[in-house]
Amino acid sequence: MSHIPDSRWRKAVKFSVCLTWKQQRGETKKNAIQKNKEEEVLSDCQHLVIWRRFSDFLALEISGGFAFLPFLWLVNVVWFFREAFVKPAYTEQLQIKTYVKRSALGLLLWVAVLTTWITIFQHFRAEWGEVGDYLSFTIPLGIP
Amino acid sequence: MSNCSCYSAFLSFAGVSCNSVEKKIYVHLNYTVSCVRLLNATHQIGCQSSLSGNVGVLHVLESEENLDWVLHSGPNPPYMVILESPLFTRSVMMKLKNGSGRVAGVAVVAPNTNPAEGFSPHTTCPNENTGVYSETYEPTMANCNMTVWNPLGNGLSYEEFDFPIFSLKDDNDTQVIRQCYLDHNRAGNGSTPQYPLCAMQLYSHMSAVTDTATCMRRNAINFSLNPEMVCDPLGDQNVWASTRPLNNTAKGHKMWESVVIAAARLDSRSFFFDIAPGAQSGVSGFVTLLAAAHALRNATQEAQPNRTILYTFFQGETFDYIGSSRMVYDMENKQFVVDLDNVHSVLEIGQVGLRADSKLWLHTDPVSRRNESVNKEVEDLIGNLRSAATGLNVTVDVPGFSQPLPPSSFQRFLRARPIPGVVLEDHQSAYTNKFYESMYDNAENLNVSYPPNLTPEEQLEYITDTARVATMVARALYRQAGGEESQLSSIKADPQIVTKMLYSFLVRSNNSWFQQLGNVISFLTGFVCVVHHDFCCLQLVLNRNCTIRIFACSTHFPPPCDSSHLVPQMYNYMWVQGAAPPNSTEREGYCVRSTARLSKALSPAFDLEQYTSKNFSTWTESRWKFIKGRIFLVASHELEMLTLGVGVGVLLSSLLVTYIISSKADILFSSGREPTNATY
Repeated sequence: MSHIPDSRWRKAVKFSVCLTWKQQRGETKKNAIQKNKEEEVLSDCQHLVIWRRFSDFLALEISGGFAFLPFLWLVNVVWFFREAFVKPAYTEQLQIKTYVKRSALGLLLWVAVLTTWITIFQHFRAEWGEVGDYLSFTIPLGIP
Repeated sequence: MSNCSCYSAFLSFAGVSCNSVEKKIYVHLNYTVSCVRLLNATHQIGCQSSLSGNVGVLHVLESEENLDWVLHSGPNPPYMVILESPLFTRSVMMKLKNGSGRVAGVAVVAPNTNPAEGFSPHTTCPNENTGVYSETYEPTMANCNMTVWNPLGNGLSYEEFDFPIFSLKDDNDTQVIRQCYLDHNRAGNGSTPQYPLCAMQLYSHMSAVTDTATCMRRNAINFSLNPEMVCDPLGDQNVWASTRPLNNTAKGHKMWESVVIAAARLDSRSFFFDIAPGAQSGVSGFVTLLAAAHALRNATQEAQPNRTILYTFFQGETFDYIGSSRMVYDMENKQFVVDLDNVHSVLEIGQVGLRADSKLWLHTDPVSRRNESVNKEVEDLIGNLRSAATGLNVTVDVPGFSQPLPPSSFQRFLRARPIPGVVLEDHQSAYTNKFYESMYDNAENLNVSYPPNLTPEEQLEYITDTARVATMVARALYRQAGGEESQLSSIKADPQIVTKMLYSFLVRSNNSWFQQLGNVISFLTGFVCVVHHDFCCLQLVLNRNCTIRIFACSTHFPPPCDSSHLVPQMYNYMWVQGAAPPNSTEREGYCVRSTARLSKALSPAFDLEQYTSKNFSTWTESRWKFIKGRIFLVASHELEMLTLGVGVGVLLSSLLVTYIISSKADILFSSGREPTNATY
């Protein structure tokens, strides 16, 4: 968030949007409308915003078929690491935590498999002769 | 760096000239001839450089003991070794080959005169695996067990080197290189030479690797965005002509046609790419046969002999008989105008240039002569040759003991069936050619020399050979083909033609005689080309000897020779540029009708896709991007690292300063801004 303080109007807009969300989720509290609970509501909403963004991103991954891409998992881990493990706990954080952990695991697995395959291929491509040539996309010139 | 032409206009009046930084650092080599990589079914031979060129500190080798400096004690490896030609021997090159990273490359200074003791980088037994003698056909004669044909051969051309090897001429450019070495690199009085040192960088990166099967497979793989060809099969075209027109569209056996094949070889090679003068090994043979064909031109028209004489000039014989194996293969598969049943006998003209005592030797194959009928035919042919030689001051003789055939195209015919034949050579046993398949096999080797102070035109006309061998060959061929005795005395080869051909093929091909035949673009070096080059010059020469001028086409660009009574299946029609008449500059071209044609000389292994074949030649030549070299001064490694370190330090410190300034920006650059918390 910017270090320049929001204008009052912006605060009011955020408050009302957030309230709508909370109503949608069935979490309206009577005293949330009161001013001294504004910051509490707002911080709650920030979490909601983050959770909203995260779930949108996950939905995009799954629907677009990107769910198996290790680079997107890397993005998951790096971008949402602070939210999942550093920030103080809030309700939605648990779900974010599970997904980040799953992404990290998948990423590690992919990295291990790819590293192993790349090492083997680079080492043995010359010896494999015909098979090596047919597996290659570009074959270096002048060396076996 | 060099686009300062804009500034030069402004600065020129101030007396400042335009200089490019690159020209101040590097001196480029003008004459770059290197050895290239060739591959066959099992091996790769030749040289390879790294992709970014091999850089080495120059060292002019003084003696073979001086190799110790290069290989062990020199403090600035890798070295680029400059060899004078006496040191270009097998022992020096093998030691350099095992130099394990201390040798970056070799440059050989080619002398202006041939060395006295002989030099042949070819093997001692040329084409031993693709000739007729093998385990199944007289193993006692295989692999040169009886006669070593090329005893001076050191086999350097067939070794593999992992550094580039270039050839330099002994001229001013090379003197610059030597001077650079003496100025900077010479270790005087036991002290090590100090940086900066003179260094050379040679680029000759070859794309193909391992063997022919691998490189042909990589040619065929087309996955990537821009598929690259890495090698090309060696091969070009054979030239053949017949004294009687043969129907070219009807391939296969021709009834009632009996053919005497007169064969010669066109090509040669050397250690370096595209230098293949081949004077004794190739030129002497085919020039003799061309002169014989020219001598026979009238006799075979007016008093035609019974049999047809088929003059064949094979390309690629150096590399396991590419041309002759292809022709025999075509004959066996009914792809040629005649087939092997039509062949009556073969007379091949080998190396005939260095006739000591004017003596020529007739080599035959003893194994096929064990058959009575074949032996009789061979004896007849020998008799014809002997009688043709009488009165000509040329002696012919047989070697007198049972000896296999020397490496010759006739061996490929014998592999197919036992045909009677003779190979004409000037050596009784081992070669008399001391420079077989080397860059020294040039006019000097054949003793073709001209008096000084002759213009090129006078040199063209200066008689250097008396053409007696050609006359003998012509008369013998006529007799062999069943011609009449009475015509023999009128068959004489013209020394003028022989002289002109020798001049054109050995000294300079861009002369007025050749220019009459057509566009002579490049000098014919004799190296067998890869398939997309044209070797048309020889065909044109052959045309001239066997042709009749029929009509003049009046326009001056090469049109199709059009006339209603052309018979393209019997004759070949070509446009010839012609000479300019004395009082005009326009050349008068004309059409020429001949029976000379080209036939493909690509090894059957490539058509059959048998890239590991043992029967046919599988030689391919690698492709490369560029071949160049340059000289410059190098600094020591420590200085380079210091410069790099200083640069990195400057970068980091500038980043640090930028960060500091940016974080204190509001203090440094305060200019009384409005407070930004305006309310709406």
